[in-house]
Amino acid sequence: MNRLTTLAGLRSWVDVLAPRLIRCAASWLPAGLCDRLEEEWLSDLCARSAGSSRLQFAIGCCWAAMQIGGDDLALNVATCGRATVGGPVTAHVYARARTSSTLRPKAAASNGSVVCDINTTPLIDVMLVLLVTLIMSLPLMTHAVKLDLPQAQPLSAPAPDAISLDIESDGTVLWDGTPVTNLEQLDGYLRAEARKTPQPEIHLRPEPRTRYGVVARVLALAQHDRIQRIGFVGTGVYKD
Amino acid sequence: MGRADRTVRMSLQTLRVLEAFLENPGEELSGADVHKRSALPSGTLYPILLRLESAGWFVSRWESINPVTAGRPRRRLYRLTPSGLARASEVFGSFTFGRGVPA
Repeated sequence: MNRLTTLAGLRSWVDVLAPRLIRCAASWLPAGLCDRLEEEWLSDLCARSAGSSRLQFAIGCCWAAMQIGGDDLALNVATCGRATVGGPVTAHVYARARTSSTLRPKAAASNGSVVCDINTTPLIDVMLVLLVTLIMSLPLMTHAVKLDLPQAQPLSAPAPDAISLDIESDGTVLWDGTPVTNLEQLDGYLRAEARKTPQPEIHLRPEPRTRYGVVARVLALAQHDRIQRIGFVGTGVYKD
Repeated sequence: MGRADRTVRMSLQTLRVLEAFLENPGEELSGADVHKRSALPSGTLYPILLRLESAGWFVSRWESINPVTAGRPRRRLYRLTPSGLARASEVFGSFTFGRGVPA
């Protein structure tokens, strides 16, 4: 009699314990799955015969909850909770639910409480993008294509023509060694040279004893004919 | 639904679950029914059912009954999808000795 009473008490205790175990196991699941699997498991529990079979089933549900919670697969399953019937949970929602509420009490995940943990996922994403960009840019920075380019030769500008304009002490003007008879002839020479491009250099070399007035007239004539490149040469003789 | 027909790792337990459904491919089975046919413990059975459903091999729905009149809670019923049936048949067809689970 006492044995039967003990067995009956044990069976009733198991009948109370098994649903509690299932509810506890369901609370470990992500928020989108806990309601569905809790109802499903409780329903399947009723199909079991009372006793140890129910206890085994409940313990197995605990193991299943840990398997599902730690499953790397982003499950894409349709959930039908008690409050809302139908509606799929996408892989994204499930993955987010997994990262936020896996193996946590259901209330903490579903009641909208503030999660104090820093969401490092976007930080890691940015870090990986920067790392990949750096890795891809390193070969570009160190890689150089060696080309045998032709060396540019410095352009040697043709030396402008130089015209020696000597003025002797007696006032005779020599245009490249040829005596100039008068200033009109010299004016014609200077105009002809002024029209050339580039203009030739006029090397003016008056003798030390030449009168300043003659030299001044030659310079004035050159300026009037727009001679731009004119200069005195051999000025060392004037020191004495 | 956007379900992806992903590759499912074929374990012996997964084959047993598929075999339970292939006895009558159009039949909807609850977890308890699959347990009776495959003799798999609940800790193994339900993760496999969820993985197969996630992979698009199964679809599931709640049983449309009135729990008060039926005297029991509604059950979650699983059914092979056409693609799941094709994939399962392909898997079992790869065995030379028929549909049976390899020993």
